[in-house]
Amino acid sequence: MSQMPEKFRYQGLPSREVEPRTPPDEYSRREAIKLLAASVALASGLPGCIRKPPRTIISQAQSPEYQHPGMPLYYASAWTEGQVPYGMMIRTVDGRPIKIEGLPGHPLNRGASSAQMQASLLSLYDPDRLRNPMKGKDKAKWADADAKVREALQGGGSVVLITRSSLGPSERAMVERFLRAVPTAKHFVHETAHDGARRTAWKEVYGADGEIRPSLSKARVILSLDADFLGNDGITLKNIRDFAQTRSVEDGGVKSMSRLWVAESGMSVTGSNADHRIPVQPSKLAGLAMALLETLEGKAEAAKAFAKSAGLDESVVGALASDLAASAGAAVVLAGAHLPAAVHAAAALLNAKLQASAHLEWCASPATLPVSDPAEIRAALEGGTDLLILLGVNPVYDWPGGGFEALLAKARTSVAHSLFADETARACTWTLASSHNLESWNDTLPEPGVYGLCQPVISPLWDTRQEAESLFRWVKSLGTDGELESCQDWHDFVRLEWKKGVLQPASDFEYAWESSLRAGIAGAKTAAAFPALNESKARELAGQSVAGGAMQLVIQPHHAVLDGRFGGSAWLQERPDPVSTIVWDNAAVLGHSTAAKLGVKEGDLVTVSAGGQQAKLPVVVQPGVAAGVVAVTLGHGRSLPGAIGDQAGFSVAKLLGAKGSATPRFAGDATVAPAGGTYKVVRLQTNFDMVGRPIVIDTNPAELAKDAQAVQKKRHLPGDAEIHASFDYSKGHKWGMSIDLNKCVGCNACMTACMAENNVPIVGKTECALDREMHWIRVDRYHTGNPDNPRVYTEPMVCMQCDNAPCELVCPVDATAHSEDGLNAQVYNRCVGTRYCANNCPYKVRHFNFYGYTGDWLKDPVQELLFNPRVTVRSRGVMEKCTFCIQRINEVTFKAKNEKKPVVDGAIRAACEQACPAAAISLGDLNDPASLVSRARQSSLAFLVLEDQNVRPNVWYKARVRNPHPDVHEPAAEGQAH
Amino acid sequence: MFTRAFDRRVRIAAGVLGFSLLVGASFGTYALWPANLETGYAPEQPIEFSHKIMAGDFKIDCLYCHSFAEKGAHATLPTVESCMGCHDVIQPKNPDGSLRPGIAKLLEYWKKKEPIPWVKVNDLADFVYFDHSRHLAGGVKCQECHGPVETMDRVRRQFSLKMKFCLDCHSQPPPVGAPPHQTTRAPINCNTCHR
Repeated sequence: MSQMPEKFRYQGLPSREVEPRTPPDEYSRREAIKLLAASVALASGLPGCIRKPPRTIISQAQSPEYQHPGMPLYYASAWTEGQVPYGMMIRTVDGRPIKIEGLPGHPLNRGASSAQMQASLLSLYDPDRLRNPMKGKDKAKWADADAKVREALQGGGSVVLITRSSLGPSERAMVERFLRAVPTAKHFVHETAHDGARRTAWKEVYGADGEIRPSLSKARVILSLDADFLGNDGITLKNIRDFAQTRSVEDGGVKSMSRLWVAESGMSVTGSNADHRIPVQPSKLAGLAMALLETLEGKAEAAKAFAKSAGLDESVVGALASDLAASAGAAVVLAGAHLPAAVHAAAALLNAKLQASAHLEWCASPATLPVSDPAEIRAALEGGTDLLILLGVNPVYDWPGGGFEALLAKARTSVAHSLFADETARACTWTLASSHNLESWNDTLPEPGVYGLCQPVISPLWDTRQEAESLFRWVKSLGTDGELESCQDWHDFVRLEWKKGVLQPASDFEYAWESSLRAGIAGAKTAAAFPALNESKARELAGQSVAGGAMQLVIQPHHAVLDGRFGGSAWLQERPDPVSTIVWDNAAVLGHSTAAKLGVKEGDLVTVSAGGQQAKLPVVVQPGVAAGVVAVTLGHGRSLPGAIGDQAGFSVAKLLGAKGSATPRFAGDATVAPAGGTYKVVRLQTNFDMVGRPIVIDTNPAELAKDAQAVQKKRHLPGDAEIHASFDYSKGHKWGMSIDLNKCVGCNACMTACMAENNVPIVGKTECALDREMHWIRVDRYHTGNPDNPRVYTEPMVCMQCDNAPCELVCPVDATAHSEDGLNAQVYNRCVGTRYCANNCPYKVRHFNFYGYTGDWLKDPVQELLFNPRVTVRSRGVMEKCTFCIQRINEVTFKAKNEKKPVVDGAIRAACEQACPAAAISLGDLNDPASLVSRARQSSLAFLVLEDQNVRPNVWYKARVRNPHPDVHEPAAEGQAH
Repeated sequence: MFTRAFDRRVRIAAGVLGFSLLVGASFGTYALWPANLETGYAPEQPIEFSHKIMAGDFKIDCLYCHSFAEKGAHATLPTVESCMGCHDVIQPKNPDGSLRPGIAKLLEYWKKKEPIPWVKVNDLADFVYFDHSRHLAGGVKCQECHGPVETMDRVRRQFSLKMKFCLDCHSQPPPVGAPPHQTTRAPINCNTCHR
C-alpha cells in the first residue's frame, strides 16, 4: 500500500546486536483494529468525513523584518505591578504575544517574573475587555468623547483628575502639562494597597522624601516587623533573589547563612520562611522594636521583660536581641507598609543602631507618586465638579469606607478610562476603553536614573486607546501647549521626553532610542547617600502609643489580585494563596486559638467591624496567625462583567481607613462576631501534615556540623528488589530537575508561568472543590510543630519523570511511555481517559481534563491567539501533566543537533525555572557531570521524594536548611535518622 | 425443475456474485482506507502554480521559496513580495499579448497587498510537531516525504504522512558514524513529535 521503497519500511526496533525484525504480521492486533476502524468508516457511509476539511496556508503579502513564520521573536518592555516597575521580555510568534518572561537585564527582576506579570497576557485576550468607548450604555466614538472633554476643559469649570500612583516619568510629565494647560484642574492619586503611611513616616524621621528599599544579599540577620517583603510588600522579586542568595549553602557552607526573624500578625510568605517566628499583635510591634533597641543600648533585660509583659516567647525574643547585638553591620530591620509611624520610627532607630544602611538603599526618586488623602479628594468632589477624569482607578469598588458613587454623581461629566467595564466605569457618563500594557507606549522609573521603556508588541485588538494617549490628545486639542505641536501622538511625546531626558547625552538619538527599545532599559543608576536619621524626631514618633485592643485588624493586598485590579484574571484567581492555598476567594483569617475563642470554624461567616464599618467574610483557620488578630485581604468581591472574578470573595474596602485606625490598613480596635451561616471556601491543599514521612527533609547547621551526611541518613531508600527491566540511560541526554528547597520561598510564580507556557486550563471554583485543578506544577505546603506557630515547608511538585514510572505500567493504550532521554511522555492523541495512571501516581501530578475546560477560548479567533502554538491544546477526556517543557527541550536540542554543537547546560530552561525569582529550579542533563542538576544530585543535601516507592524519580530536591539561633530550644529537625 | 443446467447456472451466478462482492469490497476498502484517501489529494489552488516548471524545468531550489525549511519547524510559503522578486521582471504573456492568468492573479494580489490563500496539501494533525530543519539537517530529501514535486503541475499528496510513514524511516538502523547509544536512524520517542 505504501509507496515507500522497501529500504525505508518500518522494521520494528532494531539494535546493533539483534537482527532487524521481520515486518509485522499482516493481521496483527494493531492491523485488526485498523480494519475495524475502517469498517466503522464504511458503515457510516460518510467517507467525506474521513478527510480533514481543506485548510489554507496564509503567508504574508510582504516580508516583515526579522519575522520568521512560527519562530519566536522577543521584545523588551516594561510593566508596573501595583507599585513596582519591572521589566518584561515578551515572546511573540507570528505577531502575537504568547508568553511573558522577566527582562534579564532589568535591575529589579533580573529575568524573574511574577504571577501578575505572567497573567497580564491573559487580560490582553480577555473577552470581557472594553472594546470601544461608551457613552452610558451606548457605543460611542472617540471623536465625540474628545469633543466633550475639550468642551469641559475649555469651559473653565472645576476639573478633577484622579490617577493611580504608578505613573511613569512621561505620564507624570503629561499630567504636569495637563495641570498647566487647565489651571482649574486638580490632580489626585488614589490607591489602596500603597505604602503611603510608611513613606510619610520615613519623611518625618529622615527629613527627605524617598523610599527605602531592602538590599539583602549580604545581610546575615534579618528582622521583619510584619513586613511581607518576600510576599507582597515592596520589590518582592528582587527581595526573593537577594534573600535566596543569603540562604545558599553551596559556597561558603552553612556558616554564612542568614537568619530570618519574623515578628508578624498574620501568616505570610515571609513568615513561612522564618527561622524564628514571633506571632504578635501589630500594636505591640513598636514596643517590641523599642525594647530590642534598649537591649542593644545596654539594658540587657529589656527585650525579655517586654516579651514577658506582652505574652511573647521570652527565649525567642531574648535570642533575637542577642543575635542583633552580635551582628551590628550585618543586620537589618524591615517594617510592614500598613503599620503606624511608631513602628517605622522604631525600625529606623534600630537600623541606625545596627549600622544597617549597607543593607538598605535610599531611593530619592520613588517609582510611584505619593498617595492623596481620601479626605482631600472627597473635599474636592463634594461641591460638585464640572469634569471628573478617572484614569485607571476604580474608586467605586475600593473607596475607603465605600460610598464613592454619591461623589461621582455630583460631577457634571465623569470620564473613566478602564480596561474593563468595571464598577467605576459603569457609573461614569463616559467610559473610555483603555489599551493593554502590551499595546501601549510607556516608561517606568525602576531605579533613580534608570528608565524602563514599554513598547507595544501588538497593535490594539479593539478600538481602544491608552490613558496617556487620551490625556495627550486632550491637552493638545486645547492648543495652549506649543511643545506638543511637534508630536503627532503619545509615542512622539515619549520620544520627546526621552530625547530631553535620559537619552539627552546621546549624540545619535535614533540609535540610542533603538538601543533602548532593544534593551528595555536605559540610563545608569544614580546612587544617593542614606540620609541621616533625625533621632529625636524618631524617638518622639516611636514613643507614640499605638492603640491596640483584644482584636486587631490587618488589611493586606491579596497575593494574586492585589487591590482588585487583577480580579478579572482567571489565572490569578485560580492561583492558590501561597499560605492558605485558598482559590477564588478571600477570607477572614484567624489563628486556632482566636477561632476557638470565638466559637467559629472554617467556612463560618463572620462580621468583621472596625470604626463603625463592617464587612462579612468567611473564616479561614490558619495555623500561625497571632492570637487576637484578624487578617483580611483586598481585591475580592468585585462585580465585573463576565464570568471571572464576578462575586468571587468579599470586598473589605469599607474597612479601609476605619475611624480610629492609625493607618488605612491597620485597625487596632476591631471586632469579629459570628454572622450566622456558612460559605464554602476552597483550598487546593487540605492536609498539611507529612505524617512522619520524609517528604521534606530539613536540617540545620548544628546537625550538619555533627554529621555532614545527616540528610542522607534521613532518606528512606528503596530495597534491592527490582521488578522493572532496567534501561541504560547513561548515554545521550538524561533530563532531570533539581529544586533547592532552601531557596524556594513558595511565592507560586512558577504555577502561573507554567499555565501560560503549557496552555493549562483553569477549571473554576466548583471544580477546584472537587480536586480537579489542572496546575502542572504546584507548591505543596507542610506544617510541623505547634499549630499556633508552626514551621512551614514549601515544596514545588512537578512530574518526577520516574525511571520506573508507575503510570506507564497501568496504561492500557500505551498513551504514556518513556523516552530514551528519561522523560515520561504523555501522548494526548493516544489517551482514552481511563485515569488509571493518575490513580497509580504517588505524587498526584497527573491531571484529567474532565470537561473541555479550555472551552470556547479555542472557538474565538481573538482568544485563540493566547495559546502557545508549541504545545497541544488538550481536549476533554485526556490526561495531562508536566512534560519538563519538552517543547523548550526540543527547541534547544534540535538547534544544537542542526548545528552539530553540544547542548550547553542552562540553555534549556523550563517555564517554572525561568520565572523563579529565587533561582531554586534547574532543568538539565543528568549525564553531564558539570550540569547544575548533576551537581545538585551529588550534594550531601540531595534527596528524592517518596523514594522508598522505588519509582526512581528524577527531580532532586535539596534539603531545607533552617538556621535556628543556638539559644532557642527547638524540637529536633524533621525526619528521623534510621 | 432442478436440472443439472439450472444447478450449474445457480453456481455460476453465485460465483459471479461472490466474486464481484469480493472485488467490490476490496476496491471499497482500498478506496476508503484512510491512507489512500489522503494520498493523491491535489486540491485546486488559487493560482495555477506549476512546480513542474519552477522546480523541474527551471531547477529552482526548493529552499529558494520555502526559505525557512532549513531554519525552523515550518518550511513556509513565500510571501507575495518574494514572488514579486522575480515576477516583477518575469511576466510571461499569452500569444495575444495578455498576461498569463497566473501572473495576472499574482499581480492582483500584490496590488492589493493581500496574501494568497494557498490550500494545504501535506497536512499533519495538530498534535504532531514536525520540524523541517531537523530533517534537512539530517540529510532527508524533500522528495522523500513530498514525492517528486518537480514533476507535478499541481501539487498532490504523494504519501499518507501517517505515523507509520514516519516510523518506516525513523526506525531504520542508525547511519554509520552515529553515536553508539543511537539505536535507530532517528528518535522514536513519543515526545519527539507529540507534546
